[in-house]
Amino acid sequence: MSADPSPLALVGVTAPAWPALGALVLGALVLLPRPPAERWVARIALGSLWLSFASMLAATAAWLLAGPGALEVDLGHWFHAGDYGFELGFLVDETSVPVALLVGVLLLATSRFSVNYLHREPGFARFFLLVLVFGAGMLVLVLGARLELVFAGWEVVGMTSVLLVAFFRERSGPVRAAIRVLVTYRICDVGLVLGAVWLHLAVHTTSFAELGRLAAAPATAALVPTTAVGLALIVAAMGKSAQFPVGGWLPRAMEGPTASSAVFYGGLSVHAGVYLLLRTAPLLDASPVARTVLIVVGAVTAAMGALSGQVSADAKTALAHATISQVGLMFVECGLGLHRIALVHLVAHATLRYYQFLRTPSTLKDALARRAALGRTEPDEAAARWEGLGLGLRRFLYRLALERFAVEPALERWLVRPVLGASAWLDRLESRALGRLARPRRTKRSRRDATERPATETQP
Amino acid sequence: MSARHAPPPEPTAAAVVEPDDHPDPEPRRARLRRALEHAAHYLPAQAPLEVFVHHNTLHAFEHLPFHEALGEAGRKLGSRGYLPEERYREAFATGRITEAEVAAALADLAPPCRLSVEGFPSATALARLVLLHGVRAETPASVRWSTTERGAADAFAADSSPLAQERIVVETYRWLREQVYGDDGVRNIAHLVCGDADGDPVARLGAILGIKPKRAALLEALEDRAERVAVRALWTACRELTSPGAATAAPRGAPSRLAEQLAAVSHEDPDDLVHPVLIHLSGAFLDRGQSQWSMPDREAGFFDAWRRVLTSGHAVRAAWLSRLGARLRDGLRRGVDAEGAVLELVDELGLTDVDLDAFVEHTLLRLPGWAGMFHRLEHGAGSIGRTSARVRLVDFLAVRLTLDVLAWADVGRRLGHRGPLAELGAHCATLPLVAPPAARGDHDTAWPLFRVAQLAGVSAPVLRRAGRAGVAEVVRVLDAFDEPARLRIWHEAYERHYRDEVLHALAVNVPHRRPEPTPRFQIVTCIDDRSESLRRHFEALSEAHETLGAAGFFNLAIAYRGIDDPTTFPLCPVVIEPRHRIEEEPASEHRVLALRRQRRLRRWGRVNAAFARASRSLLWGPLVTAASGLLAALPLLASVFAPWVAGRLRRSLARRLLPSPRTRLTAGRPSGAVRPSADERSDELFDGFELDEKAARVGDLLESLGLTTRFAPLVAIVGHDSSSVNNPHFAAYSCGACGGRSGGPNARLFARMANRSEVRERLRERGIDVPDATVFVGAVQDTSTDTVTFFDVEALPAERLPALDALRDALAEACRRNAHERCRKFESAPRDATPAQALRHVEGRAFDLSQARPELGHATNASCVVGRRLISRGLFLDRRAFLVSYDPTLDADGSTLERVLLAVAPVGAGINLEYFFSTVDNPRLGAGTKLPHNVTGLFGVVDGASSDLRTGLPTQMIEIHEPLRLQLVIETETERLAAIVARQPSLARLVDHEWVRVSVIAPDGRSFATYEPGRGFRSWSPPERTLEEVDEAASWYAGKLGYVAPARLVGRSPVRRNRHRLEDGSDVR
Repeated sequence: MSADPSPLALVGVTAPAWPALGALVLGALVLLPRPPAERWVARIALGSLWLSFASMLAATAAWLLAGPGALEVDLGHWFHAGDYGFELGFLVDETSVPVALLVGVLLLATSRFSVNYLHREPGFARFFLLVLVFGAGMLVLVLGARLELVFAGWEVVGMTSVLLVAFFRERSGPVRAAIRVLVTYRICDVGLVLGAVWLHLAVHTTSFAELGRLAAAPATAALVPTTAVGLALIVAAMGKSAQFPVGGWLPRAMEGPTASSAVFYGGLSVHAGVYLLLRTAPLLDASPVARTVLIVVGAVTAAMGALSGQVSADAKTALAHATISQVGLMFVECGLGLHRIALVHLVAHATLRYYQFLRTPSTLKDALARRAALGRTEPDEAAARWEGLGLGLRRFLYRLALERFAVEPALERWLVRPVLGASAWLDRLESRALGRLARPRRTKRSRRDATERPATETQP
Repeated sequence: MSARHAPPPEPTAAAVVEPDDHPDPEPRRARLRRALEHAAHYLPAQAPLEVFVHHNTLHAFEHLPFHEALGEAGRKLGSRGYLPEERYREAFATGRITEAEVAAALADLAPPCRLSVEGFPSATALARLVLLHGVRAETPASVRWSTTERGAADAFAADSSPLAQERIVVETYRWLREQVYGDDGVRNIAHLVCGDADGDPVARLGAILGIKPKRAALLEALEDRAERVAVRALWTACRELTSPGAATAAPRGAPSRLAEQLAAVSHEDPDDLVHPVLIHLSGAFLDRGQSQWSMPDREAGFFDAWRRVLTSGHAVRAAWLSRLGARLRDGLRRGVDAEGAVLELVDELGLTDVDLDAFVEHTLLRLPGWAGMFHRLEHGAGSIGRTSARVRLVDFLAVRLTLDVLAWADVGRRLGHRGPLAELGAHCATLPLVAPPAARGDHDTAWPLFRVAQLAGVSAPVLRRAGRAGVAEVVRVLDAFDEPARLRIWHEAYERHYRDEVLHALAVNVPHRRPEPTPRFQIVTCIDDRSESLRRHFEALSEAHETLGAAGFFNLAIAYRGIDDPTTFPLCPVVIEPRHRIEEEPASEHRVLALRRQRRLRRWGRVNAAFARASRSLLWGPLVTAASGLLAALPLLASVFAPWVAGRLRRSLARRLLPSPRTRLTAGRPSGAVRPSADERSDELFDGFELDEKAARVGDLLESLGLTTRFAPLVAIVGHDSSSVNNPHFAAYSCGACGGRSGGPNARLFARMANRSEVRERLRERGIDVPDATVFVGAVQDTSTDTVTFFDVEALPAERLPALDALRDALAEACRRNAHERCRKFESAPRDATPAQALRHVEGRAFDLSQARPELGHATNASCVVGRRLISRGLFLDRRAFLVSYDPTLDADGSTLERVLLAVAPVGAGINLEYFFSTVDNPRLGAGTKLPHNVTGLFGVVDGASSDLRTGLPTQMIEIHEPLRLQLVIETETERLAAIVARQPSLARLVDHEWVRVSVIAPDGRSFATYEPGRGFRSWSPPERTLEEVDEAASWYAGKLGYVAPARLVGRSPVRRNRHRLEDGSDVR
């Protein structure tokens, strides 16, 4: 722990503060009776993001000047409770710097893009507000030195993601898709809380730097509950990065404006899971079980995503599947301990996919241009290879890919329904028990209501 | 095409009476086919996006008069037909609709009933008050709020006239005064003023008067608070005399609408189960190359492919689909085809054949976009993609119904239904509705009456005298003047205002026709409303600049293949099947270059395709993304942060890397070769045109343009195109007369033909003497970047090159000014830019990945002037008018006009009505906002991950559009026009059913007439007001973002000084 952070580093770690500040100002403006002028919204958003980007450059410079190793900046405590303290600290190192710069660039590009793209859209200010909040959350997630802080950013990212999926809230489709995202996030985020609490119980710290030291030293390594915490963290990462079997939300989440789909599901949010794995790499590396799980989950997701992408008829879903598949491979890389490769893969993939997402409206024109250039209208080689397979195999593969390997119906049948059924049963049990205790007796009608309600709720 | 535009066949009586127990399935199949055909009329006819062609969104209703059609469409499609009432009232407030126009519209469309209740104004006067003051039913909550919180029952509404107020106050006071001296005077008055509804009337009266109501001080108090008392008494009378009436009977839905019935009695819509599955499947089946794997068995049709794919291997399905597999296997085993399956399902639902038409229609209209695409592709595929799929609408219906039945059974189970599906409807009828229909009450009877009584000066005693019967009659009149009826009047008034403005402008302009100097340049552009400003700016540069307008395919319906195109594309209106193939080929000296171009393009295409595939593939993905990811940052950042620079760079890079060989269009056929036969069904393509054909095409166009003498030395034929990026609707911005593609090749070909000396000889035989000194040159204008590119310049005689350079400069200047004028409508354009900066701005828009509005397309189009340019030259028509050149003085028998109208009216009406309906109901008839659009299957867009296929125009194209039917102003005699319309059924349908509105200017420029179907031509005289005269367009539109009225431009021309009126219109030539 560096005792006295340089001024440059202090400037550097204000990076998440600028978008947060911008969001506050914008939020205040939105509350005014008249919607703020687009020009001012754009200025506030871009201004705060440029300041944030400048801070990131400062942080990078401070890290480079400080010589090899990580640069930790402690900003003190938020609160104390017993022997626990919520410490505000940022970690600038070879993992966070490239990702933070990526975040800065993509946020700037998104905002610049959206000034034109969302022109005259009634939700203009709301969109930029959410992008700024997301930016602040993402930077806290990336730069945070402890798991609690990462968790805070993680939740902010999740909520903005949900709200942007439901951006066009006047239609029911986006809202339904957003609820699915919300539910997946809620369930999987339990893993992150669990991991953090467990670590505190076991080793009284969640600082990444310290965890690394503990796990590396043979004397203390045994103290760290690597497998349990590792698995909990993996669950969290699976939710955010849409891995098998909880990845069904991603193809459905393409409901917001193209720019938000690009930055969330092509660029940043979907890679947050991988980033968490990179952050907690020392821990995961120490657990063969966690590594195996990572490899299996990643490999299965990659294969399923790639195959499902083969049959996607629309541009955004096809890209979503491709993204899932590559992120799955990043999980495998993490499981194999290839952290440097995973990091490069992450940054490069996020940039490329983001650009491809932004260009999805060009799909038709691109296809026309490509066919014109190739001078043909018949199927290309890949399609011909596919047509060459046996009919029975083709039907079978096609059905699997089209149904996305039936992961969701299976989950619904063997997990969601039993759980809902059990809760309905418990509910009945409770009301019967209470009914016996409470006099006068409940009417027949209300008992029927109590038993019927859960049944109608089993349909998502 | 023509079949789809025919009015839909109504179910015939014969089809209804046929017995149901017919054992022979064939007649039932035939009836199903008929039902499908009937339903298909109401589906959107939009083709895959790359051939976006504007057409009347409600074409299926063209057999009805316009306003009736809107009502019918509302019932069938659930669509709106007008703007919201507030928009019309806004227009009224800003003077875009005047009181006189409302009165005139009311006079034309007499209100549906008569009213003769003593003390009340006539129905028409009542209607006028209702319109102008926005009287309407409110919600119960809003009435409560108005009366209890805002004192609406204690003081007159601010918009009632002092005269009416005084009358009500005086009459009420006198009436009450008579009551004071009765036996129970105080109580009586309290009853009359306050009523019994809200507690003790005497106490309430006391509260109103501010005193304890005693007889002694009562009169004085009544006089003191006369207004409060009068208004309160009126409100009480309104409430007491109107009867709430029975709640409208709950509409339980016909048996053909089980889905609606289920949704009405449960909290879930079965379509929420079916649609995600069905949309996913339909997209996968119709896909034209987005996915790498195509659906197996797609040659067998959707239904079969679906069954075979879904029954292969063991499957885990969602609970509601658990019986799907067994069902499909059973169908396959018994060899039931799609039609048979539909009929079986219809039986299972217990529907009789009588319901079949309604059932099929209703079922398909629940997802009209997708059903429409199946129908559209059944009748002709697009030009790209793997097209081995056998697309039939009945397959879609079969898949949809199979899923529907399972979903209905599932929802029915949760509603407690266990028996056969046929009884589900009856079961639903026993359940309470989730949202019972609203009951009538004060909010929609007493409140409108109260409002209108205040406005009309009708007091409580008058109402009491009229009694319940009289009041009921007034309420009936108010009810009959419901929202559609009000909107209809508003809309008519709105259109009338615009029509009068245009006619007025023309009427003022016509006498100013000036002698035309010898032309220096003539340009022939498309009739497109976007050309109006370009023509105006070009003409403003010199009196010797002349412009003409013709449909942008320039009378050359061709199947064209450019050097980069893989196949030919039709370049002509969609109703014409092109019969002549024209190819662009490299000039012989540039063959090598062309080969190099082709090679490089191929290489680029292969790399591009491989990259697109690899970046998504499992194995290559990591390598490709890692290698190219950071490189992708360069184009990404450049095109987001500096779109103009990036666009320019990309363009110059392409120019550097891709050689552009000089090209020419293929030669025509020699004379005497085989000719296209008259048989229209033959789809044989012929190489080019032979000499006679060329002369005929060129001669016909020149004649209809009225360009048969006075040729300028240089005549430019200018087609148009529109460039944009990241825009799936690109074809909607291009030339509608060329099937949503560039009109450049047509212009180029026309110029080439018209320059041939043999052609000119033939033309001379026809009486069109093109001087040898005259040269035609083809060009194309990019309406988005405002640039004009000339074709085949090297083929021009050398001595014409200086003139061409001068023309190029003049057009460049006109384009700069045009760009400047266009920028006025862009909110995001710089406000005080110079024309050069404006040009750079519009160019930047076309390059910008983030720009959802590369240009505004045909937005605000509203009128069409068919006649000589000299009647409209010098008018500022704000890019709202299609300008069609036609010279009535050269058209002795009206045949030219007939030809022109046949070509122009449907195209203009198609564009106009598509914009109209996409504007008035963008969620249903338009495509919604572009922001969540997701290109699907390379043929359409859906919202986000899964929605109905969005047809029509996106919000970004129509947000500034003002929905007005095309105001067609024709320079001709009324009798001639009437004869043509009577002869041509396609025109008669548009004109007599008011899908376009027609006005006529007599060729002598002195008399005007408007056409009212049913009433014939009505003479029109210009209003007394003067027309604005301004120096130049820029000073007129400067600083205005929205609507700009027509004006006459009088600036800068040297002729202005010695301008003189021509009293006789005949010798202008």
